[in-house]
Parts: sequence; structure tokens; C-alpha cells
Amino acid sequence: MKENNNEEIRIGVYVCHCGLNIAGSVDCIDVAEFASKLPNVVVARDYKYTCSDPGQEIIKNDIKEYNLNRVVVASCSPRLHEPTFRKTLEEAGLNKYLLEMANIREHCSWVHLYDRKGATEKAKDLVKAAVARARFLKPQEEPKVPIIRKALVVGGGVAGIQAALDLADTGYQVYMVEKEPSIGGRMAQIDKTFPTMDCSICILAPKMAEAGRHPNIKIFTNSVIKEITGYIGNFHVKIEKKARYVTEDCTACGDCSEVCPKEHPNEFDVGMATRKAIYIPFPQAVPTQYIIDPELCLNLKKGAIVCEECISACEKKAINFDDKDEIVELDVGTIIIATGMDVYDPMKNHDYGYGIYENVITSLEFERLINSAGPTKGTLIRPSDGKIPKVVAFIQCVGSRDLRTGQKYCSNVCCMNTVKDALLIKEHWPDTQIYVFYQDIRAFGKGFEDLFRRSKEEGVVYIRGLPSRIEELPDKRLRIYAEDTLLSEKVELDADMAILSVGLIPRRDRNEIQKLLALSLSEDGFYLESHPKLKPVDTAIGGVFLAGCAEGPKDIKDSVTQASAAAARAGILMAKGEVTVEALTPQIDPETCKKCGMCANVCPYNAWIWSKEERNVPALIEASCAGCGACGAECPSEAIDMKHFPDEAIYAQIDALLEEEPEKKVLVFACNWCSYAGADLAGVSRFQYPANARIIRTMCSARIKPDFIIHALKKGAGAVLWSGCHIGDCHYNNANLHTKRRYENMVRRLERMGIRKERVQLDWFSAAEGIQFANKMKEMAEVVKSVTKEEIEKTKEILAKMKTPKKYQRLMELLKTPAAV
Amino acid sequence: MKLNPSFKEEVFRAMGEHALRMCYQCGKCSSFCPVFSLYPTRFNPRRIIEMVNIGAEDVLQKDEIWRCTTCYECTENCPQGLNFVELIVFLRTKAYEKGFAPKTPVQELELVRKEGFSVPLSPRAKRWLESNTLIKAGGK
Repeated sequence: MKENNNEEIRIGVYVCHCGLNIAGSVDCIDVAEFASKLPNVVVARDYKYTCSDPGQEIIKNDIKEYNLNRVVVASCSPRLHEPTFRKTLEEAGLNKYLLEMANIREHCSWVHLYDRKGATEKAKDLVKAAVARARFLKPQEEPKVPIIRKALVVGGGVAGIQAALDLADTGYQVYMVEKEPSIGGRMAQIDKTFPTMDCSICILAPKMAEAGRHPNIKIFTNSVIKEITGYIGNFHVKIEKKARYVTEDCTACGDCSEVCPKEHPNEFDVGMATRKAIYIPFPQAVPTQYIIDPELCLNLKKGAIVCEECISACEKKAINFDDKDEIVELDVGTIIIATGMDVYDPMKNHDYGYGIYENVITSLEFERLINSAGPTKGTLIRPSDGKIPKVVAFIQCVGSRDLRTGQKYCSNVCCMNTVKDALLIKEHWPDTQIYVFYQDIRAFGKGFEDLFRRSKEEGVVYIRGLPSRIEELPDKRLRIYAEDTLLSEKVELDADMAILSVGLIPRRDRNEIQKLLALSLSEDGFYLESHPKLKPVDTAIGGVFLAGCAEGPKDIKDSVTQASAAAARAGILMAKGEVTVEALTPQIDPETCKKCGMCANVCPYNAWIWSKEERNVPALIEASCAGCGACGAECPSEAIDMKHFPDEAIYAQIDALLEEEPEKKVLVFACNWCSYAGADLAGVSRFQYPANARIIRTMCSARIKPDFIIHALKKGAGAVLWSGCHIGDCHYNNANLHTKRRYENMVRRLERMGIRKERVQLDWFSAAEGIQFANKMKEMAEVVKSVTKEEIEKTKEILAKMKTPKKYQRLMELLKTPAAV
Repeated sequence: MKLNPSFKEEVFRAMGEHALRMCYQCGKCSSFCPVFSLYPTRFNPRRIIEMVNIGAEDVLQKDEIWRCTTCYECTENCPQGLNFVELIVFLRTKAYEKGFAPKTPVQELELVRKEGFSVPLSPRAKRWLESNTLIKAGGK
């Protein structure tokens, strides 16, 4: 390593234009000129595209020519290009932790599009803070972590099956967990698939069977995940395997089911047919093994054998009432979430009389009716009288693109599903008259338009306009009222049956997995991907990937494509066998440590080893530490510091940002995962807010000491916002509960001292809440307007009594020398 | 129909909501509308929204905007949360200011302002009201 402790700090600053993305509202030349005059800056340049090869070449040449030992790039979010520029540094022989980025695009030019002066001033401040922080960066060695070459697939639908098969064929051990008694998921319920009109179960069953007998795949059906601990490459999973009461000796002959006296609506047929207490969900189920419903079975409800029908019917003696729930523990390196979706339930609002009029059914119910293995053996009948309908109406966008039902997104599959369903009816009963009420038909995929054209050729009528309501006629037929918006005419249709094309919604139990892994949810409620375009199957959690409808509504082809992609991404990690993790762990100074053990108390990962009896200096297990910094903020003697986010650097940033006109500024502390990402999203979405906000990034909101905030107030900040992930969504095992506790204590103290709590706020933002972030910034700007000069002076006076933190004193000492720390 | 972009901006500003622009033209409002169901060619809320959204200022001169009964069926059922009644009130105010309002409603409003009633009262009826009830007929 080139650096040594007495070496002079030599910083290069690179201000990126990003075409006009930054230069459009920030005067980049002025910013570079300003940067060149900052202390320790040896060279400062502006360039059109710093991330391009020539841009990176400039940095590399400068490192050699000017003997730079720190680099500041002012461009886009570090969440986007930090890896790029870290690589640049490494190629020029510098340690990658000596890079600092100033986010002047997402946090500046894009959110202050019409305020060139304000944006330029802000960009200068951000660069100044980055330069101030760069001084305190140190070269770091990244620890290497081994990756267990086993994968967990959550969900056994078509996406889960595809991902499991791909990984298993590559040679990795795969564990698949499915909540239902059989794998297969939604695709098994569907009759035919679009646009090819293949029989759904005919193409799925071979895949299910393959997964079932694959030597590298172990399937846990009727099982749920109870606990996931660990980190990338080393997850420990607890699975609850619920009792099945039927052993593996079962041959699925069905003798038991025939004699069983208890009946229940069959979930697989969406309640349109019945099953027994001992049943198999559908004939092609994998595993091919019956199951007993403990809620229904007389013996299991009573807790004693009162009915022996199935026991005596089973020749194989496969029934075992002593079966117990069982906890299985596994270690895996990667996890693929393929938990799928639910369908919108029109019962709640009785949309179009669903649940009141017998002949209004959903598209999923239709799939079971038209399926030859379904309750009617494939005959489409009117539920009211069992007759074959002559006029059928489809109604689109039920529970999609509708703010009242809460789903404002397009569900992606319903248009084509209806086209396919209409053709299916035409195939079996060509004389049926079919009307489709729609607002837009979206036939965007390969072969979709062809299928749409075919339906028009077959005589399906499309009416542009969503019906207002349906009335039931005395003969149970339905009168549908709508406007043909192309004619601007009122139309009424008497139909025998109406099929509601229901949308896809996030799984109702999505929070179970979300909480286990601290996954983020998008605004729609589906799991959030790491990047919408470039990392569509990754999550923000290392080693965890998404496939299928868990990420958003999609058709079978897209689910399978995504599943293979997720398998490939997981495979890359497992093939390498090890991964480097960022050097973000804390360091403890045994000299100043008072051995109080507060760090061990707050650590969400139990990474500090300390015992009350021994009163030792706490020792860190580096592999367990995730680098949130909760300990560093808790330590009362300031003995703990974070490697890449030291106290001195944060104080230096605060000082730099509040050097000029602090009373007009809003200082924001944002956590890397949610609130900083939310601010990035505000930028990407161009949600405008006032240019007086200044954001400081740390890994977790629990890294922030109340001292930092008090220091900012002492410096005269107009207002301070402390932000993090929503409670329950924290990426560091609920470390943000410490944030909440510290904030509440601090504010109580400040209020007692006479400081308004409006000026010091705490708020939570998810990575999907760009608009909320922008709105909060507007609100904070209003707070700043209400703060007078006198109030600021008064605050300073009150806080002057509080003692200066040791780390800040050290910073002041250090700044007197030009050397490294 | 001549399009005037600043007209639509004016309406958006006054309405203070984004829902107006979010209209998908799905036709639920008109299908729910009792006036439309009687006179589909003479009143169509969806068409009025479209005219505003494209900036067709002529909408102010149309008799159509005076046919809404403000029953709120459309507003209650709009999938995009658009408040059509608020829009119609705004358009009527605008039309009145510009002198486009049809005679009948204007005369009636004038009467209400002057007399307190939308139908003119005979002198005899006025006397009767004054002597028999607490109502003091005719504002002034």
C-alpha cells in the first residue's frame, strides 16, 4: 500500500456534466473551478462523461501524474457508479476505499431543474463536503466470505420450479419450500396458455415431475419458513414442515378419499367443487401423495380416533395420525424468492354484483370451468341453471388500473388472458356470442397481436368502455350497462354470463417473507428489485434474488425467463465460492474503552463479544458484523469508530455543508438502503424540491449520533432531518429502533432546553417513496423559513453549554496539519 | 375545434389535482350518468373531460355543461378519482364570467339574488307570505 501516515493528502476532483443531465442545471465549470481552490485539492476538472472510458483514463493519468491519494467524483448517485470508479482507482493502483462521490445528479441537478443558481451552489457544497470527508478515508482490506454452494427456492410455482431446475442441473443442491400441499402454483390451475393455446398442465406437469425426482432438489411441501438468519453466502434457514398425516408410502390410489365422510370446497377449483378431508389437490400433484386437512378430519379435530374409514381403506397402511409438525434447519448460500401473487377478490366490494348474482364469475373461476379436469369436466355452464351460455361478456380491468380498489397498475396478463378465453369458448361452442368490455387492449408480446386478430376473425366483439353496472333479470340473465366510448352511445347487453377479468395483486402473506429478509416493497406492494433495468432479479440484500410474480405481475414466459435469470445470478455467486464484503466494520480503541458493554447490547447481530462478569474490552466477530454502525453511535466514551464512516469525516461533512448561510439549510442524514435510495428516486422521477437540502449518507440511520445533530444545530443549521428505513424494513435487523429511541430522547432534551422540535425531525422513507421524500423536503424548507436569526443565535447560546465531543476536538487538531490521519 | 393549451393549464391550476389528466376515457362516468342515460347525444361527462384535457376552450360555449345535475354518480365511481362535479362548477363559473352562460339559468340566478326565489312571486303572494309567515319575501 502506498499510503502512509505522514503522507500529504493530495485530492483530485472530477465534476461530471453527464451530458446535459447535470450541466443542464449546474454550472459544472464553475463547480470545478471552485473545487480547485479547496484545501488539499491538487487538481480539479470537469468532463462531459466521467464514467466513459476516456473519462476514467483522465482520472487514472492524474493519479499517476499528480501523485493523487484521494479521488472525489461529483456525478450521479454512488448507488449507481461507485463500483465503476472504485475499479478505476484500483486500476491506477489506489485502494478503492479512497474514492468519495458527491451526488450532484439525483440529489441536485434533477431535483432543481429550474433553479440553476441554487443547484450550482448546492453542487459546490456537496463537492466541498466530499473533499472534507475524503481526507479521512483510509485504505481498507475487504474480508472474504465463503459461499455455501446450496440454494433455497421459496415458492413452487412455475418460476420456482424453473429456477430450481436450472440450479440443480448446474450441479447445486436446491431446497424448495412450498406452502401448499403440491408444487405447481397458479399455472396448474389455468386451462390453456396464451398466445400458443398450449394446455397449461400438459406443459407444466413434466417440469413438476422432473423437479420432484431430481437428485439435487429436495422439496418441502406444506411447509413454511419460520426464520432466516445470516448474510450473503451463509444463510441459516428454519423451515416448519407441517404434518401431512400420510406417509411417503402413499400411491395416490384414492381409496381413502372415496370413503372419507367429510367434504369441503376445493381450494384448487376456487371453491367450485368439493374435496374430502383426505385429498390430493389435483391429479398431477407433486409429491403424488395424499394429505389430511387437520381442520376438517374428525380424528384430528377430536384428537382421538373416532373414524377409521381411511385407515381401513388404505392397503399400503400409509396413514399416520401420529405425524407431527417438524422443524428442519438448513444452511444455504443463496435464496430465490418466487412466492408468486394472489388474484384480486371482487367479493369485498361486490364489483358488478359478484357474489350476489350467480352468473357473474371471475376469470380464474372460468379457467376451472373450462378445464376438462375441472368441476364441470370442461363444460362452460351458467352457475344458475347449468345451461351452456349463448351470450358471454368479459369485463376488463376489474381490480387493475383503478384507484378505488387500490391497484393503480396494469396487471399485464388480463387482456391476453381474455382474448385466449374468448377463443376457447369459440373453439368449443362456435355459436356463442362474445362481447369484451375494455378500456385499452394491450397485446404487446410476441404472438399476442396474432391471437388478438384471430379472436376478431372468430367474431369476438370488442366494446371500448367499462360498464357501470350489471342488473340481474328475472331469468337470472344479466343486463350490462355501458357507454360505447367510440360511439358516445349508451349500450345495453343482455348476457347469460359475465366474466370479470380480475387483476393480479401482491400475495396477501407477502409480509412474512418480507420481514424475515428485510426486503423492500415497491409502491404496488410487490418485492422491490435492486435496479428496475440493470438488476431486475437482484434484491438489495446480497445473495437474495426474485423470480416471477413476486416482483410484479407477469405472464408465464416472463416468469420462466426471470427464473432462469435469477438462477444464473445465484449460480454466479455459488460458482465463485466466495465473495468479498465491504469493509464497513467498526474498530475499537482499547485505550479509551470503558468496557461498559453498551456496544454489545445494541448490536443487532451479536457481533460484539463481551460479558458482564469479565468486563473485557469487547471483541468483534467480523464475519457476523454487517457494518450498520449502531455500536459506534451508542459508545458513550467514543471508543468505537466505523472504518469507512468515521466520526471525524461526518463532522467534517457537517462543517463543510454548514459553512455558508447555515440558517437557510436543511441538513439531512439518510441511510444507504431506503431513505438515500428514496432521495435518488425523487431525482430519477424529477420530483422537484427546494435547493437548500444537504444530504449526508451513512449505511444505517442507527450510525447517526445525537451528537452529530446537536453539532449541526450549534453550527447554526436551520433544520435537521434524520431519516431511515420504515420500522420493520430496516436492512440491519431492526437497528433503526435504536434510531427511534435516540431521537426521542434527544428531542425531549432539546425541547426542555427550549429548542423547537419542528427543527429536528425524524422520518422514514422506503426506496420507493421518492414523492414522499420530495414533499418532506418542501415541508422542511417551510420550517426553515419560520426560523429567525434570533432563534438560531439563541439555539447556539443554549447549546454552547454542552461539551464538545472528543472526536470533534480531534478533527480540529488534525485540520491544522496537511498530513493524513 | 380550436385547441388552446393555456386553457387546459388554467383548468388544471384551478382544480389543483392531477386526476383530471389521468382520465383513461373508460366511460364509467357516462355509463353511470342519469342525464346521459336519457339524452346520450346531449350530455356526456367523458366528452367534457376530453375537451378540457385537450384544451378545447369551446367547451365553455357548449350548452352541454349546463345539463349536469351534480348528482355525483360519476365522481363516486371514477376509477381514477376524478371529481367531475368540481370541474363542471368551475367550467360554469368560467362560462358565466365570459358571458357564455345561457339565458335561462342566468335569469333564474338573478331572481334568486334579488327575490330569494327562483320563480317570480305575484304581489298578492308576497303580501300573503309577509302577513302569514316568518318569511320576509324579497331580500330588500
